[in-house]
This record gives sequence, C-alpha cells and structure tokens, in this order.
Amino acid sequence: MKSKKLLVFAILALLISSILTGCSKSTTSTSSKSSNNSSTPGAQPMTIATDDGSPTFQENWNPFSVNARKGVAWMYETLYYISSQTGDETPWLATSYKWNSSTDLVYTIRDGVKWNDGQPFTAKDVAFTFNMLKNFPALDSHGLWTTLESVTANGNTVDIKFSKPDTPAFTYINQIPIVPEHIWSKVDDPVQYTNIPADGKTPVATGAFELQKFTPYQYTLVPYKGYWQADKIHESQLIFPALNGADTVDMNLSQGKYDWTQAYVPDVQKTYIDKDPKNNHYWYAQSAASNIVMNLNEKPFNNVKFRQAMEYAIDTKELSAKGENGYDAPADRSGLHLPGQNDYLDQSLEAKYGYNTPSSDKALSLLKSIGYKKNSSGKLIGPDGKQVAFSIEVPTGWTDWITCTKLIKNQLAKIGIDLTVKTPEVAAWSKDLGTGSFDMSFTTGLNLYDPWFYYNLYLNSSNAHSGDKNAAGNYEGWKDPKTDQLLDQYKSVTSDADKKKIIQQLEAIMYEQVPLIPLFYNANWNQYSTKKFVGWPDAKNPYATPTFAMPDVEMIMTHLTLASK
Amino acid sequence: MRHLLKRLAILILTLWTAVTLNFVIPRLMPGNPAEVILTKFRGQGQVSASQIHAIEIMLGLNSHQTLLQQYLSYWKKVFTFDFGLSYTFYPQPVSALIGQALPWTLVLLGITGVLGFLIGSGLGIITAWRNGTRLDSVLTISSTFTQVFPYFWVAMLAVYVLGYLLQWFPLSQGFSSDMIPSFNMQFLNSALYHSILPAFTILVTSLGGWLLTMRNNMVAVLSEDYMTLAQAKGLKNNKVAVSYGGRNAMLPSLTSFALMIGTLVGGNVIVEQVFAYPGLGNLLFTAVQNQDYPLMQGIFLIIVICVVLANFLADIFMVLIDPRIRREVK
Repeated sequence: MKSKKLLVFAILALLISSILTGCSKSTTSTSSKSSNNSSTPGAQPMTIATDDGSPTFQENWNPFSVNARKGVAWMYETLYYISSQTGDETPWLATSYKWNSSTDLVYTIRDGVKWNDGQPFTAKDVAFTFNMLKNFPALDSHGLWTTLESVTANGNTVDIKFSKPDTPAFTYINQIPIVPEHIWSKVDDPVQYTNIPADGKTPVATGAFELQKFTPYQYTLVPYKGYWQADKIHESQLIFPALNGADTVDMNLSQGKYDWTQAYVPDVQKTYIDKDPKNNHYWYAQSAASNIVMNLNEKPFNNVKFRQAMEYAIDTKELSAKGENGYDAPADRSGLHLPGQNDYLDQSLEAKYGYNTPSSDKALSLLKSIGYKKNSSGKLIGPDGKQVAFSIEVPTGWTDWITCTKLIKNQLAKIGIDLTVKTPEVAAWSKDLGTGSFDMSFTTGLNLYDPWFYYNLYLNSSNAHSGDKNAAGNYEGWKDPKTDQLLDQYKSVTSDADKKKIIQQLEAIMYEQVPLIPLFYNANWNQYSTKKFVGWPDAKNPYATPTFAMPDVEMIMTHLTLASK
Repeated sequence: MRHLLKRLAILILTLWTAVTLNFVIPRLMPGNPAEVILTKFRGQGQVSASQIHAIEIMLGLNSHQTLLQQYLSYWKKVFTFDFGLSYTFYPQPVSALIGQALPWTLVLLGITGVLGFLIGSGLGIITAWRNGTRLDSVLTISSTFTQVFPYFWVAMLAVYVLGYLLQWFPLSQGFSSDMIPSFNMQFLNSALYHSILPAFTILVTSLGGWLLTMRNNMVAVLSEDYMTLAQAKGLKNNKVAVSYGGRNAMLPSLTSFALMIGTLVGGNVIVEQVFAYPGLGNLLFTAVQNQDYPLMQGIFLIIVICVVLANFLADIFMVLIDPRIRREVK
C-alpha cells in the first residue's frame, strides 16, 4: 500500500517537472526568434560573457557611471581610438586633430554621423559633453578639468584650450564617450541619471549597437542600422548574460556557449582550447607593468643599494612562469611596456646594470658593500646587528599574487632575508597602500599607451602619501624633484623626439634609483571563438586591447567578419 | 501584564543597541568605499587620484560631518526608512534594492523553512513514537547523515547531477534569462521551476536537524508520568502522541523556529550565491564586499528588527502554550 503511494507520488513529481521543463524550453525558443533582424546577410548572434550580475543586473546605461552596464561600450563612441598596445591612432567621431600649441588642441568632427534617434551628430554635442564634465566633477573621472580651460564648438571643429600645457590629456580626452546634447541637456543631474529609455526604445548614442531588451539576468543589443560604419557590422544580435552562481563562466566556456569572454581560467589550454583547438583561442594582451613597491620611508628600503640588491634578488621570470602560469610576461625593468614601446627604450641601461638577469651573488655583494653580512646559519644580518626581516602584503583571494609572494619568499630566503606573507582583505590592503603602512606589496598595470602615464602614476610625488592625503599610485613614497620636473616638462612637449628624451631620463632613474621594481605585464583575460567570427586582435595583429571597455570594443567590432563556412 | 511590559522594555533596549551597532560596525571596517569600487577594475589598470576623487564626490563621502551628526541623521533615516543611495549600485536607492530582493528570499526561505520545520518535526514525533522500529532507524540514521552534510556540498552535488548531467533543472538563477519579473503565469512558472533545486537542497539539509531535535525531546517526554497516565486513561494513540507528547516536546523546537523565521529575512548567503538567486543574502554579500554602508545598514536593520520581533513573539507564544511559564509569570 505504502509503496504504491510512493510510486504515484514519484510519477506525479516527474510529470510536474517535465511539464515545467517543457514550459521553460518553449519560452527560450520564442525569444531566439526575435533575433533575426540582421542588417548584413548571414549575420550571426554573438554571446559575450563579460558583465557580472550580483546576481542580477541593475539597469544603468549612463556611460559615465562606474556602475553602468558594460553594454554601454558597444553603444557610445569617442573622438579617436588610440591602441594601448601599439600607440596607433584611428580617427573615430573626429576625422583629424591638430595641436596649435601645447595649450590648444583642435578636432575636426566627422560629417554624416547620426544619433540613433535620427538627429545629426555635431561638434556642439562634443563641446556639450566636455562642458558637462566641468559642471559635474563627479563625472570627470580623469580630472580633465584640472588643466582644461574651455571647450568650444566652431562649425565642424571643436577647440580645446588648456590653462597650462597638458599634452598627455590627449589620451584621456579620447576616452570620453560623446553624448547627445538634445537629450542630456534636459537631464537635471547626470551623475544620478540611469539613462533608461522608455519601453521598446534605446539610449540615444552614435555607436554600432542599440538596446533591444533588458531583463535582470540578460540583455541584448542589436545593430543600429544607420551606423556610420554599418557595413562593418556582422552581428545580428549581442547577448550579454549575467555571470553568476553555479552557472559558471568556466563551465559554459568549455561547453562552447560563449563567443567572447574575459574570464580568468586556471588552465585555459585544457578547459577551453583543447575542447575545440580549431576555433577556441585566447590572447591575453598585456597592459603596462605592474610593480613590486617597497616602502621607501622605511629601513632597509630607504637605501638605494639595498633596493638595487632587490632588483637582482627577485626573479620576475620565475614569478611570471609559476605564479601567473606564464600568462603575464615578466616586465622590463625600465618600466616600459615592451614591445609596444620599444622606440622609447634606452638599451645601454640594461647593458650596464643587467637587472633582467637575476643573480643572488650580485645581490649579496651589493649588500656587503653597505654593511650587511650572512651569519653562520645563512641569515642576513644588517649593519644594526639585527636579522633582516620584513613582510609583503597582497589582498586575500588574489591567488596568483599570493603564489608570487610565496615564490619571492623563497627567492629572498636565498640571500638570508625572512619574508612574511600577509593577505588582508582588499579594503585593508588598499588602505595600507594608501597610508604607507606596509613593507612591500604589488600594484596593478595600466591600459594606456603613452609611457608618461606609467611614470607619472608611480613616481610623481603628488601621487604619494602625505599628511592625511592617501597615496594614489605612488605608494612607495618616491619624492624626487628631478622626477617631478621631468614629468611636468613632458606635458608641454609635442614632438616625439623630445618625448623620447624625457622618457629615457625617467628610465635612467628607474635603473639608478630603483623607486620600484617592475614585475610583469598584467594580462587582459580574453578568450574568443572563431566559429562564427574572425578578425580578432591577437599577438600578430594587436590592433586593439581586448578590454571589453570603451573605446576598444568599437574598434574590435568593426574588425570582425563572418567566418567562411 | 507585567511580564509583557518587561518584555517590551527589553525589546526596545535591544532594538536601540542593535540599531546603534548597525551604525558603528560598518564604520570600523578598514578602507574607503571609493577605493573598493575602483579595485573592482583590477586588470583594467591602476586607479588615479582623480578617479578616486570623482567617486568620492559622487557618493558624497567628502561631506565633513561629525560622527554624531551622522548618527543623528541615521536615526532620522531609520524612522523614515530612507537609507539613501547604494554605493555599489549607485544611483539605485537602497529601499528599492531591498524591495526587489525581499520577496524572493521570503518566498523561497519562508516556504522551505516552514515546510522543513513541519515535516521534520512531524517525522520526529513519528520516529520517537515508533522508537526502535525499522522506520525509526532509517530516518534517524539518514537524518544524522544529511544534518552533517555541508550545505554547499549538497547544493553543488544537486546542481552537478540534476542540473548539469541530467539537465532536469536550470543550474542557477531565480527565473529564465529572457523574462522580466511580472505577475503572469509564464513568469511564475519559470520562477517555480527555478526554485525547485534550491528548495530541494534546503529541505534536504534542514529536515534532519528538526527531526533529530524533535525525536530527542519526544523520547524524553515519552517517559514522563503524564504520558503513562494518558495511555492508562485509554486515550487514542494519535491523541496521546500529538496532544500530550508532541505539544510538550515541541517547545524547544518552537524557540529555534522563531529565531529561524527572524534570521530568514536576511536571506541565506550560500544558497543564494550557489543559485544566483536574486534575494537578500546575495544583496548583503555584495554590500559587505563593496563596503556599501547604506545598503549594509538597510539590510542589517531589517534583519535586526525581524530577529528581535520574532524573539518577542516567541516569548509571548510560549506563555500561551506552556502553562508552567504562565504560572511563573503570575
């Protein structure tokens, strides 16, 4: 009797679940029908896994918001595209630019571009966008208006005047998404604006794609038919699923559910490439060097010879190979991002110092010259008679970095130094960096081509900790008038030769003074499938950095073509 | 009546302490919310001073208010249920975020919580009553097993077998990706279908606890004299088991049930993480990760109030069903 009841129950349960599965399957099939409004024949949908849900999406299409959905990068465009790999410049919403002087930059705006609501795009929209940043400093995340004086539109040109020379600002100016004046001028507070369109509409932008549908777990974009480069777009639909939960990126990636993603995959060869070696690829484009920072206000790091010894003692090749699985190439000790910035490199420095070849003997002999000795048990004893010991801290959960610190511990043990590894919470770590309460740590890299940004961020004394102002970049506390002067001087030069001269003097400071030790070039995680689309940027053709952010994605989307069947 | 007033006074004191701690604790956390927001962009590059500055302006972190001023305005917000804008989801208001997440948590955890308690306790009564039978040994041993299973292990196993291998159920999410939450059959169906796996795993791991507590209490109660009396009076077995045994054995379980109902509002972080469920647990997790003070305060406040109230109600309820406490009170 009892078993019969159980059986009935089991059958019922099965029935219910199958009905329910049936329902949900039928709903998914109806949704895929709506995606066939392609502009080019044979266009294909593309699934892009890059936007994290927590676990669901909050709708926000304000391209200036830090919490905007990543899809905005496929909607809004910038004036110029500068490849952070090669420095190559591609005209975008502007067709040309000219420096009249080091304080006057003039752009000529592209003709015939239309906003996706049909209104023409003009120089006035550009001027409006920049002036909006002035009125709302919370939007000016690059601090452009610290040196800008005015931005005005004249016919089809935009005149940008600076209050003092600031040529590197060019890079940032070209990262500003241009928004339509006829929409945004009516917005009271663009800082809190979420730019959510009325039902069935799309945010007004010039870019290749526009919003089709938003749901809490997924949104889709479709091509904007009036796009000024519409002939280069071959996707019928872009699908952005929310990344979360047990439905993990690794799992979906290995099942081939994504066309493009930016996941950190521990063993990408096995989990992804081997599943379909013909179509599955990855290219982890490098960003500028991340670094090992030492607290220069503290013993023993306040001694330049000690820092030089660290250059020899720490083997970044081993860190790259074992700590980062070889995905992040070891950085050149000049701090330059090679090979992209080869033109700036002063090779005589490496020939003289040879930091790129680690040697614990050289480290020890340098240390001896300033009074350090190894005792009978192999420990390094300082001039004060104490054993040399300090700590390195990296955030908890950043497993690759933690592995690296353990490798450094072993490397320093060879010359008798005791290194303690600390792994505080991210927030505590960033506070320690900001206030200079650490011995040694790591920093992350930058995705910008102009080498000035690297040196300015890490070496400019204005980015160091002082009083109650937290450090922003210059965590080690490098305060050197000559460095500051070079960085400042660079802002007023426009010729490549002059720029190179200044950069090489900064390289010399890196070698002679060792304010910090370049570690490896951070990788931009990037896996893609050539099953449907080809023409992705890769090591052979690094025309763009796959950052999944503006303006890189527009560059990539206009380079992809359909794979021939 | 005096008992009730005393309880009320304690309730108010507890609430004040809890709400104050809710203000203090997030501010003791190291770091700065603006920097945490920006560390999310690791790999996209190092953060510049101007970026931190811009975000501080946006979040209003540079308002030079003393801690006391902040505390007073915080109390005002508590009474008006206005917690400002979330940092993590800026510019979304905290109240809207909580409003979106709360129903999911309440429905999933509420139903499974009550079901778990009822079924578990019911089975506990039966196993104790049939102490020593095969049914008892099977249920007791299996509950001992399921009770010690870590929840995430059961959940991952269920996801792997039922979701990934057999593909009977979706791997995660509260509803299908192409749907916008609304009250139509299609959406409710999808939400129900997506809730089966989380509900099942919660039940599997929670039933055992209720069953064992109830069984142990019941076994102790069974040896009481009044049980023998009840049977001697010739009452029916069912009546003796439920009204005499169950009612008394239920008391300790009821207290923990009340507490559970209170904490339930906070969501279950692990369940919601594993299944990407759009509930409060996930929201709280995100808030803590990002040092989102306004959001944390909002969620904690709701949890605190519910726990304290549930406790208060449990106290009153106990007076009603347990004559011994009633006598003490008098």
